[in-house]
Amino acid sequence: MKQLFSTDTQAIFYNEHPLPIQRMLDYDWLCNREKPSIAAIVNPNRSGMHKTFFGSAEILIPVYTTITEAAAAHPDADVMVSFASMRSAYATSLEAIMTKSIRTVAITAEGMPENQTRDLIRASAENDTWLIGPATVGGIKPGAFRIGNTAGSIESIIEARLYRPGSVGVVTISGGMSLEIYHIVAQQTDGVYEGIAIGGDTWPGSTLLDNILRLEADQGVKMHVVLGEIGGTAEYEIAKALKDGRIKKPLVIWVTGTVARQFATEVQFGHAGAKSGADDESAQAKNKALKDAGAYVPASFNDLGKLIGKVFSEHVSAKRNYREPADNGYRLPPLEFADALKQNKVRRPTSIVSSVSDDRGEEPTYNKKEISTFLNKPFGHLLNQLWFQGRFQKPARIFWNTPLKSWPTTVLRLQPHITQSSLHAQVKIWLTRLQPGCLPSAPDMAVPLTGLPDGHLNQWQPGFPHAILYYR
Amino acid sequence: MAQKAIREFTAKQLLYHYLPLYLNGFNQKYQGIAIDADDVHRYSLPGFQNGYVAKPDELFGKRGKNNLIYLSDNADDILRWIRDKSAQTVTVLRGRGDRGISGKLKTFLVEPKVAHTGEYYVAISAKRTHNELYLSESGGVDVEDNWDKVITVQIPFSLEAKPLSEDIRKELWGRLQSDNRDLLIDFASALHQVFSFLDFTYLEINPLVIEDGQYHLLDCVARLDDTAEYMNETKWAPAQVDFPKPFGTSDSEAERKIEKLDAKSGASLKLKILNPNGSIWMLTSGGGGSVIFADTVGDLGFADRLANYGEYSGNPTTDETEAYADIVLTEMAKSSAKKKVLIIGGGIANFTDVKKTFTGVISALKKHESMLKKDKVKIFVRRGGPNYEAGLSLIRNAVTAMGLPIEVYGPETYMTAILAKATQALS
Repeated sequence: MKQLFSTDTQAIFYNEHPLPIQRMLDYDWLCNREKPSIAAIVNPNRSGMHKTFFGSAEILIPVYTTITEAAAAHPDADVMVSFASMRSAYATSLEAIMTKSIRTVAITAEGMPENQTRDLIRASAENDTWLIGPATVGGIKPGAFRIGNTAGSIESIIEARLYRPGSVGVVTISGGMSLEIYHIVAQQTDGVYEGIAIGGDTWPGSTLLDNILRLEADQGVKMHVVLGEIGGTAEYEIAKALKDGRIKKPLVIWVTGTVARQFATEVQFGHAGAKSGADDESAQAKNKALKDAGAYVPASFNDLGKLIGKVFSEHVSAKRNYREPADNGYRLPPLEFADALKQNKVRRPTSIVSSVSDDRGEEPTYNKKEISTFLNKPFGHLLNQLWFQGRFQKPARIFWNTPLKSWPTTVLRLQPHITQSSLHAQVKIWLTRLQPGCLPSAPDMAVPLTGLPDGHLNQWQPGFPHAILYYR
Repeated sequence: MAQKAIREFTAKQLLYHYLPLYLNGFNQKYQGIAIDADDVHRYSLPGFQNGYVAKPDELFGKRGKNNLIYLSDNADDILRWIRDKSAQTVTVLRGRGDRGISGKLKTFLVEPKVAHTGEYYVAISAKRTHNELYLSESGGVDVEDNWDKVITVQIPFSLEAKPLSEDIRKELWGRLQSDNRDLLIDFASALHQVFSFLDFTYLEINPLVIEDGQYHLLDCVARLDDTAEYMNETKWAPAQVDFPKPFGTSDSEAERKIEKLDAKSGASLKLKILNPNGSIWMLTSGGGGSVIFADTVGDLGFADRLANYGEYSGNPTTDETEAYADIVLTEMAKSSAKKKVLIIGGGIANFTDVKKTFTGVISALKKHESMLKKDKVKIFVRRGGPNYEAGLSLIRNAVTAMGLPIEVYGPETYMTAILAKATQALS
């Protein structure tokens, strides 16, 4: 069976999600990849370029509106990493499966209808495409390729030595538990060769056994570590494959959900496939069947780590031809400016000085107030801070709001013939006139200033946006 | 978020509405009446020629064997039976060796009685690459004992609602014997179309009765894929589909509160109280990790002292975590256990911010400070993931400042190691 990922693998990333895109590229940088693992991005709403970092260099990744276009321009990209929403995941994944150059499709969407997933399984079998997911964080091939958010932060990737390949193949159902298992494997063995989380849906695109058999055929894998789950019968297929000799490498497995016996009624755990109820789908029954078939099964999750270590030292590292995998180290991607600032690691001189606004901190400020504080407040509030450094009290601010809000309607009342576009043009002109100094020198007192306490009139001064009152 | 059982009444409404589209000559109206036991005195039943059948409609089978099917020609009799049954607590055995499940019956179904001779069994189950069709001419309550007489065929999966292929029809025709086999095959074919069309994942008609060329669906078990709900609003509308909880599920107030919280939140918040007077209380995170924590308590031999199963995951906000922890701690305060431990555990998160969620947990702990002190609660923490160092030191300092014992561990410690320590503290 073919390998899904190598150090040259490039992907088409579906949906322009800046964070997972940056995380994939940071991982590439960490494990010394020469070129970024994302060749193109598909965003149904726009085409152009996506600006992101590869190391400290800013790079542009082309953005296309369809998968077909992206694949035609990048025929070497044979993976699609899909961050499509639950509702668009089916159609877009099907398009990817039908695209000849795409050989692997990883789907993160949660809550896809089961018949849609089953149709993707049918199509992927007909087109010889490998599916990972849906409803999963994805997977990782240490030293080569990371799907989206798999394995979390750069720190945890380094702690779990996921920047270079080890010799253990890991397959889990849960994406959330995958990092924990990679960590355990890193502590007990020479590390992870490839880790796949197949996702918790009833019908995962590729099953536990599909992935185990693929890794079984891979020379780099010396042993398997598998985390199964209550519900379904996928683990019995593994037991069968152990018995009939399709799996020969040592396999350590634990099926979670033994606690379900404590529940009197059927319980749906966190994953769609994880349902207590049927006896032969219980964790206990599956653990026993696997043990009988020759898998290494601990007595409890508590002992899983030790058992992995034992099997590794007895069956992998004790072999005469065993060689510890090379560790060429990693290069840390530069810190994000905001993170570095938080950690007090950088400073930067300002290029423009403004007495009103300031973007040096975590959040930009207007007149020393965070701009988010203006979000839910009337516009007059912002005007007060920007033009008058907050000198005015509440009644005045409220007064400004009224004309600001009623501008367009007022204009329409006074000039009924006006068109929409010329109204906009006029509003624009007024806004430029709102600059201090280029305004009429006195308010048009024909507009009655009812409701405004007398005292506030004393606050007229140069810079007041007379135009507002004038046109009111 | 998965395959969910629906009531017999709901399933039959859908079947009687859609079968006529695919099955020539099937044009009956569904006459069943769903009865809410709380309101039984307000129902008056229409006259049925052959009398009535009444049974509970609460997602469990084997009602005949549990003595929960009632036949009568008299409508008042039927309503009286429902009133009596719903007043008692009944114990239902769902299979051989089942210890049974008890509860009060709330929903009943009344249908016209059908006099019949032969009973057939038809079921369809969704598998990974195909749908499996089960057919038997020896249907009825003992179908499981006669499982060797059940014919199984595999129908390749297709998104379209296709009738059975000629090959499959021929195969079935060869294997069936009764005079009604053509009608039975037509029915199975139409049923398969409805099955595909409406996103059923399991459908069982047992018994199916064919009298004088007319079909009668006497009993029915069905599951729908609730993730397909958003695309099926129109298709499912004839039945007002809902997904009731299995019989015997008695939610505590705390569980209902968490359910409401979960429905409002983008994150996932779950709680199941196992033993209200338990000693081991869990504030665990992660769908996979929280199950493992609960498992391990059982594996250590403390299953009977485990108070709850629960999880918060999917990066909940500080406020959501606080509300969640507050509800769990309120329940913990009510527990009459002499010794109590609190497990704040989780795996190494991919992206849930540990500092953010722990800030919420700490606020709840502060709120329950007096209870924690009074019960001398020992707290054990293990967590990894983004900002875990900050989160762990926050919780250590806050709890130590309250003068309470706490042990805090990060990803360097094996995930479930705190449970061995916690159970030691109990014994």
